[in-house]
Amino acid sequence: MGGASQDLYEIFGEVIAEYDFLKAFLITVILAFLMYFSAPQIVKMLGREDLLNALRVTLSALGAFLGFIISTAIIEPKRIVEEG
Amino acid sequence: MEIASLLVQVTLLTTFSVLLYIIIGMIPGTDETATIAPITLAFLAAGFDPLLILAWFMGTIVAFKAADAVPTALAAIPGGVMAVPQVPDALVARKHGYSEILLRKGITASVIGTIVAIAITLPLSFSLAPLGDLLKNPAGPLNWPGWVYLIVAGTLLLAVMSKAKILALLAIFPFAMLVQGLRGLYGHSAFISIFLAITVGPILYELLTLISPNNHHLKRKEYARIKLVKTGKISLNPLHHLTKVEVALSSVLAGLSGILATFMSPVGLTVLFGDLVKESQKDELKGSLMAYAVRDAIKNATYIGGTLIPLIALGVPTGPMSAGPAHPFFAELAVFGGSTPRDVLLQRYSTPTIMLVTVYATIFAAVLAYLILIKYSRQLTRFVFKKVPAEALYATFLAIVMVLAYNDAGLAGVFGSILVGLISATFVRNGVSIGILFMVLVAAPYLVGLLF
Repeated sequence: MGGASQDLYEIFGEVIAEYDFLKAFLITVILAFLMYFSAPQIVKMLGREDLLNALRVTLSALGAFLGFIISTAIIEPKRIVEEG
Repeated sequence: MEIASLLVQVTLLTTFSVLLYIIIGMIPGTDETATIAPITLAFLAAGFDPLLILAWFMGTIVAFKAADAVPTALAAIPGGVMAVPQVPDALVARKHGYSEILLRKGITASVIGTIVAIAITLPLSFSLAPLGDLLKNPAGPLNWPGWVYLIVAGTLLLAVMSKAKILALLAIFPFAMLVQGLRGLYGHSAFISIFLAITVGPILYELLTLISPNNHHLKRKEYARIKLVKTGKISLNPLHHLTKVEVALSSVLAGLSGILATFMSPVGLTVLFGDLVKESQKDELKGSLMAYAVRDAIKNATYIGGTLIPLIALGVPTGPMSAGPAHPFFAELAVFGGSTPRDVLLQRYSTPTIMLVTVYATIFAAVLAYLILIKYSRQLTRFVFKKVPAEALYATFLAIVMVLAYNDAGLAGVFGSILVGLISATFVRNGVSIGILFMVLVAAPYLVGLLF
């Protein structure tokens, strides 16, 4: 769904579209939790079960960051910049 | 770790944090606490070296505080909560066609604030270190550790200085009960999920309003229109940008605020001293330019002083900054065997090493942020406004908070975070400073103990 056909809302001085936010939220949350739950398999493969807790948090933050990059690429910012 | 290899890692980490937080700092609606604390906590909870993360943290502070004033000067839109008091100054400058001059003054003053703060508060922190033991021993009529009296006194002071004094005072015990109640339910003294819920509470509240039928007041028909003013060629020499009086005022007030931020709110100090400077000038434009510069210096100084003095000298969070954005350094983390990153930092490294790395990371971040912002502020603002959607940023911070809350207390931690976030937001939206909620979280076991 394109930004123009969605309901727009102002949150903290920013205009956002509800479906675009939902899309970004699902992408980042799914990627973050996917990485979180895949951590036990990864530490097993590495033979470093002692790193599980540390790696869980790092991987999930990495998942969220990947989600940010993907969301940034597919969602249009709701700002019109007028240059003086 | 060898000093040379440590400094190489610090350089890389600080460069990355400066680049990342210049972009985040420019985006409107990004609150400092909500964007700095979760990532710092994620790094520390993952077991990264506390000294390297302190270097990262100093980079984030310096870059965010310098960058959030750029859209304020160029488009009268604050890049963060701390830049909100600068909007009226920016509007006066714009009216007189002084936006570019304002921009240069702000960026230069933030470098001055950083250098003065690090020069004063870091040596002060080490000389005050013996006070730390005194603050940890139980004493006084309530047999609380000394730091708890300080934080409760700070909470009361901040409450009476809040916009909503009575509500702020009323919030203290109910919020402490909420914290302790959730900890009872979880079966352990959870901190991370509750702390993060406070940081993102105001954003969470607004986003949840989107699924409420009562959201008509938030509906908009068109995209946000942002007017960017023109800038010319800007000199790299910082001496060209500020008057002698502005340099003197920025330095003195940054030094003072850096120390006061141990107990007082950074936003409060920025408003208080900035307004005093503005009122002291008869000429509206002169007063606004001076106040804008001073506020930028104070913003950096309060974040640096409010972190370093409690972190190095006192060892316990004593004010809104150390109980807020810098609190991850005081949290007892499983990855460090239940110790705090602060304790690990002081055990692992000598005083000269900590001083060297902190000074290097902070000054390096200030110079890098200055060069980037003074040269490319307009291009960066245009890039951020045109390319980075707010949806992606809000979603990312919420995802990090959700996963850390789950890691802290399972599914109950996620629902508990929604509860704490909504209650925090209700208080904050009605004029209670978010710093009060952070300080109540830290003192909650002692405050609830008074009720039984």
